[in-house]
Amino acid sequence: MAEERVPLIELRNITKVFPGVKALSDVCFTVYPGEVHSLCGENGAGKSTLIKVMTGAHAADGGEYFIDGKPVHISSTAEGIALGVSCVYQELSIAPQLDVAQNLYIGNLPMKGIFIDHKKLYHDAQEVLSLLNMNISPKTPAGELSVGQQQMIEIGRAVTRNARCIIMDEPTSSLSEAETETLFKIIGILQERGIAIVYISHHLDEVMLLSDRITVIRDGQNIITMNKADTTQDILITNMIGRPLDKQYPEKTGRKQGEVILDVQQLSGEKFRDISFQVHAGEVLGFFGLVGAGRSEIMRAIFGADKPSNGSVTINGKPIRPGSPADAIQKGIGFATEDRKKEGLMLRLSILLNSTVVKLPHLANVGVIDRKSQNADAEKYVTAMRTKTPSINQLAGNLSGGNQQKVVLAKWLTMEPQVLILDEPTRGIDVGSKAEIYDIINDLAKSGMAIIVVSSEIEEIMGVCDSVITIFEGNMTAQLPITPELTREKVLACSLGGKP
Amino acid sequence: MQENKIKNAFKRFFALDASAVIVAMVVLVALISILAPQITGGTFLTKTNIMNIFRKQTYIGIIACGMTLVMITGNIDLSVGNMMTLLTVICALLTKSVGPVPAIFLTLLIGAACGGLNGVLVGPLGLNAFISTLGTTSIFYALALIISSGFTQRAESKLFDVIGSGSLWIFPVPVVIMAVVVAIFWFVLKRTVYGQQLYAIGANKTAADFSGIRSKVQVMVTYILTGLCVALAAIVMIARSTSANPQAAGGTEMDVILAVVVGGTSIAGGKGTMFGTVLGFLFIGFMTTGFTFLGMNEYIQSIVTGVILVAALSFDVIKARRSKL
Repeated sequence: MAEERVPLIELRNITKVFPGVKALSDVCFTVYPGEVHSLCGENGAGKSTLIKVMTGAHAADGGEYFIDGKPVHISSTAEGIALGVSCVYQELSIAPQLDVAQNLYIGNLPMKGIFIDHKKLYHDAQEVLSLLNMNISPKTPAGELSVGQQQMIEIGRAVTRNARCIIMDEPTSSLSEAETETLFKIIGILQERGIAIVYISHHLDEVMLLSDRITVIRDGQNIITMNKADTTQDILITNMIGRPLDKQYPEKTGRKQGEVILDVQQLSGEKFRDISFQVHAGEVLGFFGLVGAGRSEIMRAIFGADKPSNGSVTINGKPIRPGSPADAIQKGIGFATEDRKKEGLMLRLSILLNSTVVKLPHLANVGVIDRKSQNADAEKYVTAMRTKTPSINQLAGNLSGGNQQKVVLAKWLTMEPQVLILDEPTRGIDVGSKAEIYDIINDLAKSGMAIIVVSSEIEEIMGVCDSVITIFEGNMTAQLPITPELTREKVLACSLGGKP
Repeated sequence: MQENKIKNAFKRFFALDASAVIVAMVVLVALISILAPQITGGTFLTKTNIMNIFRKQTYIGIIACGMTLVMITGNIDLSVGNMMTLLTVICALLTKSVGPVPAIFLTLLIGAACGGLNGVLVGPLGLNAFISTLGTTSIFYALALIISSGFTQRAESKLFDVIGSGSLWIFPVPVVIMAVVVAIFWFVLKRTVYGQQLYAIGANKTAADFSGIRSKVQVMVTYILTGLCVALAAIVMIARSTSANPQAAGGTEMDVILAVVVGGTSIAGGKGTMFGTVLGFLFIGFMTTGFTFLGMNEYIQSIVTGVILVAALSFDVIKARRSKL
């Protein structure tokens, strides 16, 4: 049916080569007006490159690009926007000092002669906001908005530029569940106006919910394009990783809980109160709660990145000096943070340095690094975790998300910590790599490490943890052992402030 | 087959961070060598000229070593020029009052203290490096004028004659001093925990802090080391000219930063090598000596220097953009 219409965007046999890598080869992709066309694939499959070709950020090395059936050559994102192709990126580009209206019309302000037409600006902005169902004043400083609202402003910006195709790259990665639902409603509204959406997400349930059609790419090549009705999540996964995924989560059998390793008592800070819990050797403890409930803040306080206002953290009976990550590391805590790129990795440096940076003082004699041990340590974890890289001298920034996460894990594992805190360990990681990370967590628990997993994915918590602590507005609401009887609904209810 | 090999060698060469400065240097030296006989009738590439480059410019090279460390952490030190002025004046006055050997020690100590001041501001206090060293530069300058009453101070001693004009085999002593400093800093950057932690801090300070690195202290130490380098440079300077002119060393920071940046150290931090800095230093040396040799107007030289700094910075940015996947 759709095939008879003229596609809004048609990419034919697109090829893109980077030094040493063929990122795309002969990829075809069509988008019809008003449809949601999802793009699926593992990290490094070529999704980002394809988007960049569509928006004009990259020039293709081969192939043809049609808009409304006419061949076009887009050599910059500005030209792409002029032709109606806009992209909402993972990294938000909101100017926090400017107000909502200015952010919406940034680079595109309505003018009266040489002056900004403020009357028209705020009037038009109000219209866009009501289209997006947003009940805020256009004069609100954008910095005061929640991440979800900022994302809406980004989408609004595309609307003000008369976008006919909006590309959304992992739009829900930092949204709460309620905000995600609002986003889906907006997508519906945009579709009704004939705007096409190219949707990219690792959350296959979202993909299945929203899409009209789904295209899977793998290793820079088209694998398949399907109508939603003809596919299932399993089919998608099989196509993405090139083989059926036997199981997402490893068996928890064989883990034995030992003595108490980490003891947290009455820990309080700006965003959380009275947090007390213990983690045993060989235990995987989950922390579940909404984004912004204070989970990450609790972990930062335990690790010493922030100073708590009250309470104590002890490891094997020894207290940890508040506010000193160096002391926490010394006493055996590792902390893989939520934001890999900002807090975890030095993207411009090698895997070698990234994975040994914590252990470096221990790999040295009088400050001089023993390079043999350093190389050996880095190699050991690349092999053990099957990190896909040509060598340990590769820059961390050139790795895919899943492999970057493995480097972050390696950096902590080199220290052989007694407690490992993993904050959102699989954010932005594809299914295949996720299963590998879960295997690693399971193996570490078997070896007797005490592990904390913070996650906003309830399946992940249920799949890998022995018990779960729910956090609601900075308070512990429940600690529940994970048994076959425990339901998702119960955990969710507790995380929303309900009684266990 | 043969063609491919050459192609690969070219590719490998251009992948080096230092490729641009090497090419630029070869072009520059060739240009000057061709122009020199026509304009002045002399030959540029002679042993005397080359040794003069080293002898005259060593102080820039010595300071550039410390600056490389500072810039690798993503910071900068604009105060080195006037810090050197202050330290030469102090060294001259101390030589007159307590003799050359104690003067040298005290100058090094005071240099470390001046660097320490910058270091505390940028490290533990976390102030912006650009602004705080811009502030201290005017403090150092004023102190130099006050201490010297604005007059050139003479400092003569046999020890200074040896340092300034002596030679070890064919190498002038200042060049030997610089080579030693370069070797030490090369080792520190490449092989020590401290050096590698500086790269980590420059590449991502938050991640470095989260990895247990005491970045505030480590950054402070880069400034102290730079202060020591400046003190050493001041001593070499005084040994060569046997006098300290409170107006002499202003603008040195420009040449030092130029050498470091041309050598491929990224102003954003996390990238840079001593090898590159040495090349950058050589480039500046060949350029200034060559232009003077050709009798080029001093102001025109300044313009060229500025153009090259901007060009080097743009090259850094363009290369970073292109390597992004």
